[in-house]
Order: sequence, then C-alpha cells, then structure tokens
Amino acid sequence: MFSEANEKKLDEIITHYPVKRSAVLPALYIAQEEHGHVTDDDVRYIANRLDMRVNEVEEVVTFYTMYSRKPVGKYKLQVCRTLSCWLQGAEQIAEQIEHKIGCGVGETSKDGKFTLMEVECLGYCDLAPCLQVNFDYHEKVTPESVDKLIDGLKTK
Amino acid sequence: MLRVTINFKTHEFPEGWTILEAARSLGLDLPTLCHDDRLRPCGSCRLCLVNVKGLSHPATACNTQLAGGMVIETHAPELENTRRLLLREMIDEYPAEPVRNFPEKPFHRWLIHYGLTNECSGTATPALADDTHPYIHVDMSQCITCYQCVRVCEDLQGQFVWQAMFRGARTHIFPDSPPGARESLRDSSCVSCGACVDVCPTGALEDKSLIERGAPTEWTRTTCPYCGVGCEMNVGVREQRIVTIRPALDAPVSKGHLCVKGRYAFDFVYAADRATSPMIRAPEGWKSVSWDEAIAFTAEKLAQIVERDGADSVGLLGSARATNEENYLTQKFARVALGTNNVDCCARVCHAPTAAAMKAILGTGAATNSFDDIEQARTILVCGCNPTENHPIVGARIKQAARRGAKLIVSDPRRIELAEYADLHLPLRPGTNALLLNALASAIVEEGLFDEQFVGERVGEWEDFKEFIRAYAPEQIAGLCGVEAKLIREAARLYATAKPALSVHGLGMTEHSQGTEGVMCLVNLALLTGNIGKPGAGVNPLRGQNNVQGSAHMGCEPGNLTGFVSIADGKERFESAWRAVLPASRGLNLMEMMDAAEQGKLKALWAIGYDILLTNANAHRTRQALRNLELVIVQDMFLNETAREFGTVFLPAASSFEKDGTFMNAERRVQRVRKVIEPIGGARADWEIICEIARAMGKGEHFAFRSAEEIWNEVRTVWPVGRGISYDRIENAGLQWPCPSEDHPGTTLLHAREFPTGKRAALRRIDYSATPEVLSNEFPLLLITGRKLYQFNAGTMTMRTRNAELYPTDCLDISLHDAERLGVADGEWVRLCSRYGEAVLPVRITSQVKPGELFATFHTTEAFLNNLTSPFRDQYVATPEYKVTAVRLEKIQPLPMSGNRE
Ligand code: SF4
Ligand code: SF4
Ligand code: FES
Repeated sequence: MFSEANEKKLDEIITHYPVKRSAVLPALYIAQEEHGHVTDDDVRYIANRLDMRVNEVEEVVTFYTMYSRKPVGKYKLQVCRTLSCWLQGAEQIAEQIEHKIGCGVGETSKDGKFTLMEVECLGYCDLAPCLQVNFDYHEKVTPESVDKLIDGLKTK
Repeated sequence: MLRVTINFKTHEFPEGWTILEAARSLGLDLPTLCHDDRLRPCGSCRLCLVNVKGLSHPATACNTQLAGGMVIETHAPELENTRRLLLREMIDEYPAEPVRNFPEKPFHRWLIHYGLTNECSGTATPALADDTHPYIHVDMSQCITCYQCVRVCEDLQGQFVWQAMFRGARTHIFPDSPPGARESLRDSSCVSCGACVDVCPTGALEDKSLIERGAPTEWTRTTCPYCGVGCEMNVGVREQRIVTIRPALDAPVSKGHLCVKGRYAFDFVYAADRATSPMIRAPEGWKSVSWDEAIAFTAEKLAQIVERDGADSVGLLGSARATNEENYLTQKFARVALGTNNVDCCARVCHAPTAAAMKAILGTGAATNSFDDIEQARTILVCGCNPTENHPIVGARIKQAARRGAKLIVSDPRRIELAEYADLHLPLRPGTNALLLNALASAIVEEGLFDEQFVGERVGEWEDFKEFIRAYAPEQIAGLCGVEAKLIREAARLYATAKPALSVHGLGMTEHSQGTEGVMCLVNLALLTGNIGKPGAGVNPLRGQNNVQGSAHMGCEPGNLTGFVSIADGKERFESAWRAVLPASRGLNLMEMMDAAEQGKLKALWAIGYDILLTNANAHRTRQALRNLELVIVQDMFLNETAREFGTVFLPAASSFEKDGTFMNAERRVQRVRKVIEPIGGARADWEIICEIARAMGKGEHFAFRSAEEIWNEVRTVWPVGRGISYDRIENAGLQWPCPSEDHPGTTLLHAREFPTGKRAALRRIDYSATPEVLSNEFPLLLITGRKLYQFNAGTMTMRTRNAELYPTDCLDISLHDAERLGVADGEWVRLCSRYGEAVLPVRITSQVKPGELFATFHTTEAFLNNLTSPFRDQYVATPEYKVTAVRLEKIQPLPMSGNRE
C-alpha cells in the first residue's frame, strides 16, 4: 500500500523492535508522508502489517496530534491549550490565527494552506504560550508575532 | 493474617487483600469509580484515596495491598475534600436529569452523597446518543471516561469493542465500528454480553429495557434458561414484568458474566404468540379448553391406548429445558404410571455418545473436571465445539486463558473464533475425528510422550493398544483427515508435554455415525498422557442445554434409571423405593420411537418442551413417523412445529422464570432455579401438569407432590451420589455431585485416585469407520450444521426476542472460492439439495469454512434445515449424524422474501 521505497523502509523499521506493533508510530509517519494524512486504508493496512487491531491503530492516531486523519493544509498550526499556555493567553493566539487565516479550529483555510488545531501540552510550559507549525516550535508567541509568522508563510 | 489499624481500630485481615477489600469488609463505604471486582484494579479515578501512616501522599485503596502494621484512615476531612474536588472535575458538562432519574447509579450516588447534584450543568447532547443496538442504549454525554467498559470488554469478554480515542479532556469512547458508522454500536464487533453496561457507573451505557420499563423493585436469583454452562443471574422485576437481567457476581461458574442469551433474551416470556391456554385439536382446528378438560382428555386417551396396545405403545420425551425435578417425574410417570421404559430426552441427539463413551471407559458419563480448571490448564484442546458462540462464558474464559499464555489447540473443520487465538488449528475433514485423534495417540506412543507412571498404574490394555495404534502414524493418516502430519505431531507434543492439558468437546465430536467411538478416542488421549484425575486436565463435554445433563441423569433414558443406573442394576432398588413393579426390558430411545411410529407400533407420544419435528435429523422421516401417531401430546410454551402439524393435545407450560426447581450444568453442578414471576396466563409448571395427569389416571399416590423441593427430596432418596445436595445447601451456590452426604463438600474432580469401575481404565482400540454419507458428482459439497451466538437451538425462545434482529435468518457459510466458482454473491438466497430434501437460505461468504465445505445454522422454521440431514446414526446410541451431509447448491430466481419470523 506504500511506495516500494516506503515499503522497504517499513520492513527495515520493523526489524528494530522485538515485537512488530512497536513500529506503529514510524509506520504512521510513513503513511502521512506518503498520503498527506493518514487514510482509512492506511489504518487498516498498518494494523494488518503489524498484527494489531484496526482500532488500536486508530487510538494511536487520534492520541497523537501530529497525525491527521483528514486532509490538512500545507501548514498545521497547532496551538497548545494546556494549563501553562492557556494561562499565558493561548486562547487569544488561537483567535488571532482564526481571524488571520479565516477559518476556525479544526478547519482548513480556503486556500488550502493552513489548518488550525488546538493540541494538548507540547512540553514548552516554561516558554508559554507555544505554537507548533508542522515540526517547528515557536515559543512565547504574541498576537503580533503570530501575525508576522503567518504573513511570512503565506508568501512561501 | 495481618494486623492492620483502620480508623483507629485494629483488625486482622487475610494476606493478599487490598485496603479496599479490608475497608469494605468493615462496612466502610469508600467511593470508587474505576474499580470492579471482575477486573484487575487500575487506580485511575483516585476517589478511593486513603491516608496511610508513613506515606507522604494518600494511597489508592483499590490497588494497594495490606501490609502488617499499617495504620489507615479512610474518611479524614482532607480526603473527603479531595473526593469532592475530583468529582466536581467530572461534572463540568454532566447532565442533571439522569442524576434525578437514576439516583442509584454509583456515580450519581456519590454526587448526591457529596452534595454536588446542583452543580451538574450540562445537558444531554443528542449527537452523543446511539440507539442502534437492540438492547443497549448509549449516551456518551454521560461518559466520565472511567474506562471500565473498555477494560471489561477486553479482560472479561475478550472482545475489544470500546476504544478510547483522542486525549485529555477530549478523550471519547467509541465502539470499533467502521469509519462512517463510528457511533453505531450495532455495527461494531460487540457480541452483546452486556458486561460494559454492568460496570458503567453512570448509565452512559444502559439496558434499553430498564429505561423503557423503569428500575426493578425486586431481584430474584436464578440459573440461566439457555446453555449447559449454567450461569447464575439476578432477574430484576417491576410489576410482575422482567425489566432486566444482571449477572450474579459471586456465581461459581459465570463469576459475574453472562452472554447475550442469558443477559438479554428474556422477552419470549411475553411473546404475543405465547400459548397460555390448554387446547385440543378438533376437526376445525385447535379449540381452547379448560385445564380440567385437557387433563381428563389426555389421561383417558393414554389409558385407552395402554389398555388396548400395551404400555410400550406409548413414548415420553423429557425436556432438557425443564428442571431435574420435572425430568425425574417424566421418567417416573413412564415407568410407574404407564409401565414402559420408552422415555428419552434430547441428550439422544447431542451428548448421548459422550455419556456412553465416558461411562464405558471411565465409569462416569460426565465431565471429569470443572470449569475452574480452565484457568489451571497449561494446554486446552478444543475439539469439535465452538465455545465463543455456543458456550460463550466458557468461550470467554478460554480466550482469556489463551491471552494469559495457556497453549490452545483447536480441532475443528472451521476456522472458528478460538482458532484465531490458538497455537495450533487442526482443520480436519468433517467425520474424521477418530482418525485424527488416533493419529495423535499414535504420535504420542511412538515418540514416547505418554505418561509412563500413569499408564503403568491406572491404564489397562496398554500392550495391545501400543501395537494397534502404530497403524495410525500421522504420516499415514494426514491425507485421509486433511491435516498435515507435521501439525498432528506438533499438537501431540503440545498436548502430551505442556501439562496439565484439558479438553473440551462438543457436538462436532458426537453427532457423527462414529460419535461414541470418537469420544472414546479422546478419552484414550487423556489416559495415555495422564491427563485424568488431575486439576487443570480431564475430558469435559460442553453440554448444549441448561439441563441436558440433568434430564438424562434423572432417568429420561430408555436403558437407565435415575443416576444413570442401568435397569438391570437398579430395578429392584427402585421397585422398593417407588412401591411399584417396573418394566424389565430396555425401552425405545427417541430414534427408535420414530422408527416404531413409522411402523405403526408406537401409538402415542408425549413431548415435553421439545420440538422434535424441527430438530430431529431427516425431517421427512420424522414427519412420516409423527403422522402415524394416534395421540401427540405437546407440552410447551409455544405451538411449536410438532404441535402445529401433528399435535392432538396442547398443554401450555410455564417458563423456567415461572417456577422453582434445579438445573444440572455441564460440570455436574446442581443449581437452583427460582420463580421470578407468576406463570403467564393459564400456563403451569411441567411438574404440576405431570402430577395432575397421573392423578387423573389413578396413580396419584406416586405423584403426591406439592412443591419442587418435595420432588427433589425424593430424588435424593433414590440417587445415592446426590443425597447430600439439599435445597438448603444450594441456596447460595450449587454443588457438584458426587455428594453423598450432607457434610460432603461436593466433587470438583473425578477419578483422582481410582475409577468407579476400579483402579484402571482400559484404552479402547477404535478403528476408523467412514460415514456412509458420501459425496458424489450430484452432491459434491459437505454440509456441517450448527448454531450461532444469537440463536438457541430451535429458536423457540431466542427468535421471539430482539436477538432476532441480531441474527434474523439462518445462513449458509461458504468459502470465497466456492462462491465464485458457483457464481453466488454474499447475501444471495440459494437452494441446498441433499439426497433427503431441500432448504432455502441466504449465503454468507466467509473465510471460516474451507472450499468444498459449507456450514449452516438450523434455528428457523423457514429454512427447516433438517429437511436436508441424513438418516444415519451413531451405532451405539443412535445419535443422528447432523454434522455431515452431502449437498448440492443451486441458484434460485426470483429471490424469496426474507425469512424473518416477525
Ligand atoms: S456488550 Fe459485551 S461485547 Fe459488547 S461492547 Fe459491551 S462488553 Fe463488549
Ligand atoms: S453462557 Fe449459557 S448459561 Fe451462560 S448466559 Fe449464556 S446461555 Fe446462559
Ligand atoms: S477505585 Fe481506586 S482509583 Fe478508582
């Protein structure tokens, strides 16, 4: 179900672990990389490959916010909403982004560029509030810095 | 014992207890929301926190073990504050209405206790409700994510339905339904055992019946009316109506678990077509009559026929659905009131081969061990039975044992659910049990894996057997039975070395022309390997119906009296006990009764709780036989097929929820059946009806019983090994026979030191003989018949409950290979033809059956599957060969309407 290269990669990754199922996280990354998000077929296929139940895979996908089960924009804007960030104004950050990209939490902007998400603790409590854009962290963000950041991404 | 101080008083507690157990034993009401006695403690809700002197933080009582000298405080003010705080966290979005409507739910009880009811500010969100399941209402707006449903489904039922998705405050519990039907429990892999409903502390999961009919006001404990596992249940009643059934938590067999049949399939009691008035057939059809009239008519007819043609022209069939007391009376009626041994029961068509084989070799025709041995076994051999569907509580226990690491061998032509959990699956060709089991024995002998000491001390005919079994080397047999030699050897090694090894078997072993001998081969294996008389081992038939063990054991058997004592051995003793002269010669068994009726020798038949026409193999001949009878007395809850076509008199019987008595389960345990509601309409308990007819025939002195207990006490006088089992003693938990005296604890394990027949049991040298039912060009496919989880046997009860929505019609399972070859699609209705008849039913394409083999259920009158089955029978006890029929599959057009009974 993956490209030949990715199949090889998965085969190899499986050998890293004493039990197959341990490879579920990297397998999901491969799926996401290949299809943009984790599709229904991916979930079934991975379950099959790793001797897991479909729903165990589903639990993992939904637990980790870095996986998407729906098509997403080019940039995933993930606002941490757990305690420290929330105290430091994460809510305003989210609102500012909504305003800026013109769609709500859980949605993708019309131009398909951005998806806004609220996520649980990103582990940057000391540098709250924190925003994660795809794999990059942006600490101590403010409505202004977020504005600038998005403007920059828009032109990329 | 440990000395522990709790709330300033010192007490002694057994080692191994948790703080929670100790606190509860003192009557302390500690709040818990994630704890259930059926599950391993997980300590996640934190409500049970207690102070333990010397620890810096409070400890969770549910998963902290007691230690000597502990000083514990359970209700200190700061603990109570913490509890209130924790609960408050959970009710942020919790709706207030359910707290008002169901104050008894554990979560609501605690909210009320801590004065938090006014703080429930949420409202029920319709989007979070799911009513797709026929029995279970789901409303996740009441979910507090305690995970109990997730855990009980995995660790008790073994079904993995509930899944926790997302995380943190957004965690949501979903069933494992496919994407697109995400919220629908109906589309999930749920097997409707109801365990998640039992543990849910809020009512997010609840029985629909309870919501519709209101909370019960009375609870009565009784034994399940369905299979031979013998689960115990508490029946909740409100205004004479059953509103819900819950598992009895301390039940020795079921340990707080039930399957969909016991848990939910009770509404047959109230079915619109329940026959509740006695009836006599008149030329224009059935005519309702008074009980007096029906009794007088029946008694007079019976007397006439006995007078004219002799007592042996009458046959009686006891019921595996009726109590021990009633079966005892049935056979006593035949023998004392009529003077014939023509009395049998449906054990004839199921485990009669087991009883005969085990009695012949081991001396007792019943399970050697108990269900509790499942957890002690290192290897479990599942042979010709499908426990997760037909004995679901045993199935669940085997599944959990396998998950914990017990070795599992499944010998079955089909890839049944347990095969997925098995170390080895032996997909033998149907009808070759004796071959395969002999091959296992052969490998064990050849490889020297037998138990030398056991064989030396407890086994007979060893030398001859050793010679004989050589011919069955796996390599010789593999081609004939369809299992690779290598696999046979692996199974032999596992069974013989990973001990103790326990076997369970079912009708896949017995319903063959070589049924009895097949079971003998299985017993041989246990003897060879020393797996007899030991905990965690043995040969254990899974009996099909709640009281099939009891009905035959009480004497509904043409050759045996109460206690399975042969007529020759017991006649004198019973004559003096019953103060009557008994017929000396063995009577006709069920199949012989059919033959005799066909030949005009049998004139009358009284069938109690038994639809012979639908369930006997080869219905064409059953019809011919029944047609010849002058008098057919049908005693049942419904006008069954036998009654509809051939009944002369119909006597409406009470269900087991409507009377007292006992059932005997598959592990020889006698358990109480209790009256939960009054009989519906004019229905009467079977035992009352029998006594009435006996009285009307002038035999009242032998049938002067006023209660089920009085009958049972008479049973105890004629059944020495059951003498110690009194109603008083089984008030709380059943007892397993042998139990010869009131101070005897009952017997969980048979043959520990010797056999009833002596020190040694002799191995049997069984040669394989193939069934005469052979495949041909005209009939090239092999049909296996059996049951499915949601339906029970003739469907008389389950088809009249919402189980019918879960399995509406009989189905024909077919492999993808055959389906493609024959050009039939999933769900398409087809015609099956055998040499004896036809049946029409829809197909289901599945990988459970092999190419060339088919599997169909026999639950409905619409499919009437026994029109297909053959006349062949077991050579010892005449059990019909339900498991092997040569058939041909034909496409049909146009498609008929669905065969749903409703
Ligand atoms: S009813 Fe039984 S099988 Fe179904 S979800 Fe609940 S626990 Fe699991
Ligand atoms: S397993 Fe058998 S005895 Fe237990 S609830 Fe189900 S049908 Fe009843
Ligand atoms: S009951 Fe102990 S933590 Fe939930």
